[in-house]
Amino acid sequence: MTGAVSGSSLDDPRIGKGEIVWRLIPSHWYRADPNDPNSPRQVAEIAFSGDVSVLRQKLAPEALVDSVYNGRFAEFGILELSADDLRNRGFVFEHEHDPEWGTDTHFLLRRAGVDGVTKQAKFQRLNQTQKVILARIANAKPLLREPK
Amino acid sequence: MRLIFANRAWNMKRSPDSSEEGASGVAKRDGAVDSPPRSANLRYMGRRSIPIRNSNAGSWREHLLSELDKLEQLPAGTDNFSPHRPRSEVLNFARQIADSLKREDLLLPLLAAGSDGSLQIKWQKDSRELSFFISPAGAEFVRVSSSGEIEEGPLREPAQANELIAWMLAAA
Repeated sequence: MTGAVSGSSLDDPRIGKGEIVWRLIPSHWYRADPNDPNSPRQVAEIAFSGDVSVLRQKLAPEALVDSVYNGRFAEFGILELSADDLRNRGFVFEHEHDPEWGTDTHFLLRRAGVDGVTKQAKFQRLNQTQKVILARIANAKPLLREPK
Repeated sequence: MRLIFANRAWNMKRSPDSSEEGASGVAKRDGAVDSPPRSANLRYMGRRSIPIRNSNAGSWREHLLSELDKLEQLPAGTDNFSPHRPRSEVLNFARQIADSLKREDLLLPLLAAGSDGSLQIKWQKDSRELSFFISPAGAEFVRVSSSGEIEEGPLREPAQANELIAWMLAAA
């Protein structure tokens, strides 16, 4: 895509090859077709708007997900994503420390772009096409855990 | 950059982070993903091969406005793990879309709020999808063709929304 750069210069290597990352999915983002309430629920593209937090599976076991922030995420669903697959599709990871999750656990899913003024590589929020791609990935297999 | 609603005009400016446009204002992103065969696409996306007719003409609009009212009741917030109440200008813009669309024979759209004050309005017909993503930075559309090709671009004016709806309703 125009304006994109190689993700290798920005991508955070702390997420290694073969790793799985989790995106937490509240019920609002996991919905049936309103024309057919009995249809299978699907992850909506808007689940990947704004800053898209992901957690490294090996550092954030389900028990931690259920307990952080006073149990706020205990009823959230869990979407498993392959870091390798995401990188192959052009996504990059930006580390964002959140002490609640522990060291090197919390990252943001980004795209690599170029600053219009400095021409330096920089992280950017996902574009609409990338949201569609992520929703496709999310709906290609069952969630690890469905939201309540 | 912000949405401007003076005199109900659709004065939109694009976010500097928005994707590049082609000459037509549509950024084609074909090849970004492998397009699944149509049958597989229908299966994994959970779509119907035969759309359910909306027997109550015009009810999609009532549904959309009702859903916007629900989104307005969401809690405000800034975390990026959960949906939040869309900004007022975003809700107003969505209501303008509802006012502007001429077709009455649409299926019910899915509405959902993002974590960043944005919202999505999504229609599906057969294997076509059309979404409007509205954020404080501007509005964009995304359409997915029967073959799985994804296109996105800015939503500049009401007439464009009507054209996009016409594309979705056209025979595959």
